[in-house]
Amino acid sequence: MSARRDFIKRALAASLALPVIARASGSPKARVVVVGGGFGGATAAKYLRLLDPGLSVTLIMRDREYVACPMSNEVLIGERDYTEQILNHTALTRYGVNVVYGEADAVDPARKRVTLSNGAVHEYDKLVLAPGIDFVWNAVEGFSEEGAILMPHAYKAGAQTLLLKSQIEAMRDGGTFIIAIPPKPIRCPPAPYERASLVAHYFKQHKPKSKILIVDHSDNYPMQTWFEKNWARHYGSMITWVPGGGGGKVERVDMLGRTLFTEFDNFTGDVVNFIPKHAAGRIAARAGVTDETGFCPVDPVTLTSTLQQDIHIVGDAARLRSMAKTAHGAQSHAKIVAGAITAQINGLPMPKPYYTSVGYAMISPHAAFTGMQVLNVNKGDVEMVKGAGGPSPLNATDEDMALEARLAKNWYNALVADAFL
Amino acid sequence: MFRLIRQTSLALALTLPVSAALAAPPGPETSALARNCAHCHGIDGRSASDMIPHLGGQNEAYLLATLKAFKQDKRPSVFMGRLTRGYSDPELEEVARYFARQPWSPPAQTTSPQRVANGEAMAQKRCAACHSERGLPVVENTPRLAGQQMGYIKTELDRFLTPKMRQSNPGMFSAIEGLNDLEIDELAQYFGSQQ
Repeated sequence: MSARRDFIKRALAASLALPVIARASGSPKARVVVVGGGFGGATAAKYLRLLDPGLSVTLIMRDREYVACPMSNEVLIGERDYTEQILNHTALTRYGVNVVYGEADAVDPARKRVTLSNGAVHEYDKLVLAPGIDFVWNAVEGFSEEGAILMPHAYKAGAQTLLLKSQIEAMRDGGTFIIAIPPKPIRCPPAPYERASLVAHYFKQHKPKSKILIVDHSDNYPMQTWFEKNWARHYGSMITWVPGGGGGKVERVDMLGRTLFTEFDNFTGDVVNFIPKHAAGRIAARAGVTDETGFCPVDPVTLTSTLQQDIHIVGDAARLRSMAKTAHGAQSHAKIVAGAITAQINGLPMPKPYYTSVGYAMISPHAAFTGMQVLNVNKGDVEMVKGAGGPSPLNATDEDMALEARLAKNWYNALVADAFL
Repeated sequence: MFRLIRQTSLALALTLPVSAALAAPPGPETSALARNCAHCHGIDGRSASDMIPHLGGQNEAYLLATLKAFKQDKRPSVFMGRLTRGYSDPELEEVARYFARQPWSPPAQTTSPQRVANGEAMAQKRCAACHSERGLPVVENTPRLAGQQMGYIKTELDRFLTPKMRQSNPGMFSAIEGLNDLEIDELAQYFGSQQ
């Protein structure tokens, strides 16, 4: 081989390799900051790097551990170990995600920077907000954040899950367990009814004289017929549902007395699971991307905020009327956003946004059905594709319901692997 | 010239960040729809769950035929039928093509040597004609089974014994007719243990 050919070869190799080195260190194609490391935020950070390793991706996460909500209703009744819910973000560094622990305190959309509560500043070209939900503590008279100790919500998994678990365990046989459900939208809409089902399963075995009362702000709920049919079959008359129009709208609470006052009635429980009204995680309001609903209006093709430029919304915080807020759904948001950002940065055509949302509803630890949504963009929002998705068959066999219960655990493991591992 | 290209791409590969080498084929080639499948099946079609099948490197004709069978309710499922009815045939083709192009590299599973041995004897008699001895058939419309998730194999074998599947796939029905739960587990362990 001639020296000249050798030289050309090396020069060519170097010229091809250089841009990659340059991108990997110091001057990325674009800087993307992701705030929030739940199922949506973690997936967004990972997929941004998978789709374009030339991006610098920083994930800002408040806590070093993330406690997952899906499957946590089984933890409440001792059917699942709490530690199975605990996730972290360390594996994301393998994809080149820069994981920063700290609380995002402010977003300045004009100067494109996020400030953390410790003063650190992160500049961005694109911002992905995946803050999940926060509770509106003062939406009901007599309730405040401290009330979450007396009447736990257990609607963000963590210490609250264990607190409600201990209260359910300590309750006397013959007592009343109340679940109070706020106005829509709520995250994982079937979850309170699944919770009623699983607690009924626990009571049936351990405290069979007990009652469950669902005090609901709404007049209907997802897969209502499915739940009612299975409750009657498995739990007789243990569960009573009070709809909003029938006196279920809570107007005032007495936290110490564990009593809910509605228009027509008042309900006192031995254990009260009071789920407060939801809004997008508070950083969303500080970034100026929320509207009067407390959630974030978006362009459904790219999940870009309609109120601020270069900010994408992922997960429960997004306002999409027909789409259920679920971990599964947040992951599809994350991939739509990762696809949109990388297409924009690289001047590629915008990919079609594929929305799906799936939730497993456990009737007992050994019987489940699913709600599934397959959605398309239509008129500035998303709508269900006709003939696709929907709930499991109402007349599903016991075998299929048992199969779905086992699949629920597989689905959870798969979502975790896709988002965090 | 070929050597030149090879060395150049080696140089490139060495300078890429580790992360890029870790995950399969990023970039514009990725299918937006396949990314949605990845929620459960993994981005490279490598499933992380016992009851969810690997798709990466599976035979394309088989993948497409199966997706269409789910969509037309010719193959029973508790999940995939409702999902596939949301997509056009060209979209299903795109998904089948994407996953078929990924490497077939299922991770090792824990098996019992005795059950694997029993399964092997059965597999040679009942399965090898179509799925090949080790579960890596060359026929495009027959699925690869070597290393497939065992919970998935068992669930599907149970399904093939139902009256509905007997009609739509009589070949599979007669191949496994009469097997009990233990034998189905042994078959699953045999194929699951192959690499």
